[in-house]
Amino acid sequence: MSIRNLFRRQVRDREMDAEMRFHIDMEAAELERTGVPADEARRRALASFGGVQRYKEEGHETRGGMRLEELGRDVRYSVRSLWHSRGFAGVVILTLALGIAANASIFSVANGVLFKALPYRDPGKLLVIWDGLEMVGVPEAWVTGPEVVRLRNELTSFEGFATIRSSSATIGSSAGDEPQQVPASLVSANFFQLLGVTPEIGRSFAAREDAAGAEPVALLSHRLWTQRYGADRSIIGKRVMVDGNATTIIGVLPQTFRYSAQNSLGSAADVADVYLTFADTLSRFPRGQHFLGVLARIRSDVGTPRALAELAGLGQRLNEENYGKAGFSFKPVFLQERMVREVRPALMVLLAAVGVLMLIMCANLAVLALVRAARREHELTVRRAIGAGAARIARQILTETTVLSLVGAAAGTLLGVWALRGLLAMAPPGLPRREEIGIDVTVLLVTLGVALLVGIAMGLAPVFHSLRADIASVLREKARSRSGSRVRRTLVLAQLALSMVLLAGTGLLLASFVKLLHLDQGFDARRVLTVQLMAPRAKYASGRPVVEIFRRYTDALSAVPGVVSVGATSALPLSAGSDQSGAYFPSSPTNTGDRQKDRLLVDNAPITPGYLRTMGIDVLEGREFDALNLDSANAKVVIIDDLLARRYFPGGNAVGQFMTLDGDSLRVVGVSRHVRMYSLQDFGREQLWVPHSYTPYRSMTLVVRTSVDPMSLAGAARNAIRGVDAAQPIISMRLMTDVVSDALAERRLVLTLVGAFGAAALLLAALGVYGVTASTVAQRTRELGIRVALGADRGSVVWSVLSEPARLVGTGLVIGLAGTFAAGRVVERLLYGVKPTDPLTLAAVALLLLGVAILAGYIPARRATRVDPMVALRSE
Amino acid sequence: MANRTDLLQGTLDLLILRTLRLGALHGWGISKRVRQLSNDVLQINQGSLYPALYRLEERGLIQAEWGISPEGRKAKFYTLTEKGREDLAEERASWRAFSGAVEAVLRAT
Repeated sequence: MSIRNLFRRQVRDREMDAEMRFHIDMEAAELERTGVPADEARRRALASFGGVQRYKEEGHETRGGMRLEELGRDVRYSVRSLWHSRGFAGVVILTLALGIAANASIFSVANGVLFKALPYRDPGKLLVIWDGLEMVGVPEAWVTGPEVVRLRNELTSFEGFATIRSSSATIGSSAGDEPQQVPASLVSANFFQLLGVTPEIGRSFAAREDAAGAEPVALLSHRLWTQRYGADRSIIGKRVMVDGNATTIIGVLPQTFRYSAQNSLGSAADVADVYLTFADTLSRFPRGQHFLGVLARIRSDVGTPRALAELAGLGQRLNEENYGKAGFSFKPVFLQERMVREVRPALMVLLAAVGVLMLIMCANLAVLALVRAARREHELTVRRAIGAGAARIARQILTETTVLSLVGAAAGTLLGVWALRGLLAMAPPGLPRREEIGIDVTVLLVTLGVALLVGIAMGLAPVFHSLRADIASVLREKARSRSGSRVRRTLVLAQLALSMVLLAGTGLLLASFVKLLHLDQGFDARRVLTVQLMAPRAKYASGRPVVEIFRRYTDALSAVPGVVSVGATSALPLSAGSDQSGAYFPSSPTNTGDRQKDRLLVDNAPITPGYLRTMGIDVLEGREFDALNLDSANAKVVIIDDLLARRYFPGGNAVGQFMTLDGDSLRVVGVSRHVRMYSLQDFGREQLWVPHSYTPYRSMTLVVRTSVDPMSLAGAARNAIRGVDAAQPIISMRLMTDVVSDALAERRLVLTLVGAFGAAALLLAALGVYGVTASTVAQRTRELGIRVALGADRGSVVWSVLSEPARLVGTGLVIGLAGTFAAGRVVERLLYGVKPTDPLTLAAVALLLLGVAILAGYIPARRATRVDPMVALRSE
Repeated sequence: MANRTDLLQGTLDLLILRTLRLGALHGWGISKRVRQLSNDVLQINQGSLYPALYRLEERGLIQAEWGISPEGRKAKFYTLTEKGREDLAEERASWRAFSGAVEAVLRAT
């Protein structure tokens, strides 16, 4: 509304006031002349006028234009009129509350994980840099020490490069200072400065504190500080044993600080509780050792493209100098993108699904609003007849639906808080940025926006309908307008088509899930307990002592009653914990002579004798490692998987051959079945196993196969380990079935939610069909009564009613089927073993929808056959 | 074809224009005059009267002016414009035709 309009409005208001007052005074005076007492005359005059305010309002209306002040009146009127039809309002608000709650909670997650900026200084300038080693099948490998030195020395567009490596550390060492194993990160001194994070108390690392020979210092997470040290501020400056070294605690990080270091091949590492520096002797490490995560910050005065170009240039030089032009390049990935890459497809599917559900809900609410408008048709038409403009009526309807949608949104947001809590409880443990998820201003604004859109959308149908209604015929209370039912049919059609799309997505996800459940995983997770341990560096020197202590643990566990067998590995299936090494089989008949082509990057992990048997991994040829192989003299043996065996020895004589692994020559003693090491849906790369004595890692997971419920042996297992070394910290104890189940957690959640949305859509679509059929039956009561009276058989009466919804459903399915191709593309990245256009799934979904819709139509249609002819004929 | 509302509204407009043909009147005066002329049969709903007046004013068929009523009060007087006069003639003709037709039908049955 323009200022001028407002001003004119005020003048006009005053004039109108004067004019109306004059009218009432005259009327009162006239009445007084006929002998009515003054008070009574005035009252009657006012009454005959019916309230000055209302006519002033309608007076405005004739002059056109929208006025903000009238909003308040419209809202008050809407609330009054809705109060009179509480049933309608209740249903609408409840539907909306559920829809908005679903929408708000899903959007909160997507917002917190995908959209919100990371809580660091200028996060758009932060990059993670990988070595791109596509030529050996690793697109994102860790960076070597010498490469980091060159990055730091040669690139000018960057503020700095920090290095990070996930690890774990033992805090404490003696009684009274209980040793505790915690996730740790080894970082360069500039790490926190680059992120722009300052400690809550104390200070961050100083520039030279990562130099060789520097005093060991550490920063603690807020969590560890409160849990282990009772949030004691005097911890700063104290010395604490970390991995056997007296380490000075220099600071505590803020409670909100999180940084998930990314593993090169797997998911995010645990959030560290201790940050240590690692001596900055990067160039000391061999050129071939890719082991550093690199975080870079582009200088704020340099554009991203220029910085990336400079980085690519160095990559090219390195490709020529160090990689024999094999195709090396740096792979920069924005930190935010890297953190959420794995969950993005799932969240996008959820957002799309909840969006489609909202559309279906809108259509459903529009139908409800239409029905209500039809009931009020007379009232609305009379108002139009006495001069209320079309715009006025439209505004009234829209105000009413908007009031409803806002109330629904408020209820939905409250419900959403609760739904979000449930959602997060179900969310897979690896969900990144979990702590940043919440109902914040962005979520509230989006929810408000959605609510307003829904309010307008649901009001449009009745507005459209009321404008087209023929005033004269409505006033005669005769004709029922057909335009309402046409709009309504279109809406139901849209519901059916959208439901088809949503259900197709659900069906495809379900089919994938079932495929994954029945997948041959290559191992047997049933009745296996896993116990993760780390032999502390302070107590066990590297090499032989570590192998020995794990041998003693496995022996001790084997003696526990109920235990069938015991083994240990550094990398459980589905954990993405393997190492990668270059493998070469000199005696392979398939070798081409080109070393580059004949070499292969393979997964490898150390295992103890008995591991394969315990994990249920079949040994197809040869044998498993035995106790002899624990002697480092006999450690140069290897078990390869069937993929390697088939690839290099198609003749089947792999056992007894020699292979080269990172320069060592190992004898193949067995062939095992391939196991999925990364995730259920990812078949993974070729793999091999070496004896623990060959790679004596100190962080290993014991696996215990039992003849009884494995959890019932948890206490006994703990005692057995403590019996060997009372101070041994146990990092975690889990059932292998839980490891498998966690690998499916994200899928299960997505499937559950999309399934719930699909079910809701199905219900809404069924209600739509029911409503349309029921109102057809109501309209045709008389006709149907006559038919029944004339002796029509039930079937033909039912069919004559049902043919219309059947046509509707048919059309809806066809349109929906076209839409499923779009749905297929959205869910494509979450599918496993099912094509987005899987005809079986689509057919099943179409049949389900058809069945439910026909059933929904049949219920009122059957009622048509029960019409009593007499009643029907009298009803007109 | 004009539908029923147009007719209803048109009738009110016609009545207002007709009363104003005799000279300037304020709103209350118009409603009173109509009541008198129709022997209390036609009662103009005030809720329709003022909107109709503003509408007619907007269309340029009548014009409003503040003046002093015979009772000595400030009141808004409406007068017919030239355009209004023409419109009235037209409306009257079509009303006569219409009511004549209705009359004919009524007489026939």
